[in-house]
Amino acid sequence: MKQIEGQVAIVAGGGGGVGEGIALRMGREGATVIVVDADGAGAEKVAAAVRAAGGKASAVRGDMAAAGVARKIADDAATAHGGIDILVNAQFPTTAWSRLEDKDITDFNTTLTGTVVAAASAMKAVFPHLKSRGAGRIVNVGSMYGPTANEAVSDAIAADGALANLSRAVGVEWARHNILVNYLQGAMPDIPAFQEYRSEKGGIIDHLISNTPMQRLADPVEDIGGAAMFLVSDEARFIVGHKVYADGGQHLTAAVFEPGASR
Amino acid sequence: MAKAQGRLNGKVAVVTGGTQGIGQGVVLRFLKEGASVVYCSRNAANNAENEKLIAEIPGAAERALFVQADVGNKEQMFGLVNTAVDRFGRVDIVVNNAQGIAPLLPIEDKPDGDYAMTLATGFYHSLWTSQAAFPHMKAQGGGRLIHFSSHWPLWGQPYASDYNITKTANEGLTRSMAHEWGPYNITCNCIIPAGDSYAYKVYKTMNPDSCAETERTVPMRRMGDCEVDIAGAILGLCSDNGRFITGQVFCVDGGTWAAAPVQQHNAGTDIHEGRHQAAVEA
Repeated sequence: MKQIEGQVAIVAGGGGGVGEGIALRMGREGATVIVVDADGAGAEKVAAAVRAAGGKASAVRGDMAAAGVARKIADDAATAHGGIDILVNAQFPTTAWSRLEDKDITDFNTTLTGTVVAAASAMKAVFPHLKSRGAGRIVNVGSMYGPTANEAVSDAIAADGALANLSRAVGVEWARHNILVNYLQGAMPDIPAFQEYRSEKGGIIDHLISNTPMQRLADPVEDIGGAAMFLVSDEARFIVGHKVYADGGQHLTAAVFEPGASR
Repeated sequence: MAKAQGRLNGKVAVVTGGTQGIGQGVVLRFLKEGASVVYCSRNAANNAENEKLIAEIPGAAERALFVQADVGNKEQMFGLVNTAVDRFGRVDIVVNNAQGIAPLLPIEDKPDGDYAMTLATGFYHSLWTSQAAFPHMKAQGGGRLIHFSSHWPLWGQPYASDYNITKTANEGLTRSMAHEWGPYNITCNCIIPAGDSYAYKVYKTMNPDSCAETERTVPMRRMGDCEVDIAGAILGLCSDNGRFITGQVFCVDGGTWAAAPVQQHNAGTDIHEGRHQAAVEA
């Protein structure tokens, strides 16, 4: 049985990676998916994949952090589909890896704007639509580097913490409207970027997997998409401002990402 | 009421303390989602309400089995899990909901026996049922374990030191089991509920003004319904959606964890009116 049949979901950052997995899963579970990504081709590809699997999806090229963009995307989606039920913020720009002493300070602007400002803008944009429905679910997707002390990604880890706290803060504010905001982190995804890293630093990844409780990579659709379904379905209807790790327990293990490290 | 979707079709679950409050909610919800459910209480008379409610769920009666058992007794906890395997052929899920409660007393006055009873009926029972289920889950290729904690240890709720250390132990057990048994595709998570449980209802009767104030501080402005809200989250962690979630403590509480409303109990209060005070065996 489909879990979110007939609902309308905006998946920002859905054009690739973890967001792609969540968008594909929501399409499979019966939602009309609006795939938003600054990478328009990526958004088109994922929307086409949802449709090819028998689902409903459209693509929008856009940056939720840019002025007016989120509002227009939300209003257009609500007009076209009669409302909005779900927002997923999975956009997460990446910058070059380096420790803070060498990091370009503008990388922080890129990362924090592309994650926290984008998520907050998208949340503000969908709020009136969710409120008028009398219910809504928002999932803010954090960084896979968030829970443990990986090096050379301080901007991503800072943004991850900010997304978790944004989810808690707005979760408390909007729970009275039955709009539930939570944070989801999907670690060790079996996605191209991660596979590429593994091909370069296979020993590190093998070490990470062997130290992780469930000892395997995450399937973006089944594992991370499954956790997203937990958060947007009737199952999590009393969970507010919470962190959920779809990581096979990796948040309990030591970090292994270090620049220049090799095994 | 949430719509049943057959999310646990073919699964076999064990629930401790399944005749009232949150445990009862889990039993009923799991039966509605297609699971076979073996559940216990110390007192067979406690099962009367469940018998009536289960009879109203089409096809559920033959999938439900009540066992009279004391969660403070190791032999009986292994027996509970083994009964599930004998009767239904497997065990996929164990929900360790039960907890014996001692009267609220200051640390300087709390008898050693209260600590022993609370640990036995909370921590040890969770350990024993999990140990009993482990070989079966390993052989089957996976399983789901759910333990229970509480907001109280987070905040150091006064006069409940025995309870607080027990629940903290359950959180540690959750992370240990996630690590040790993760390689066998067994997940283990812990629930901190804010449900309209039996204990909360008693507390509310005793302290209506305080409860009204507490509920105003809950971001969702209400307590959770045992079957719909609390059991819903447990269902999610035990269904396919929760397949890669392990080693976590979940506040299923409408956001209460972010607001920290400590209950204002007086020392010596028995919010369970004697009903939950399991005797320690041996």
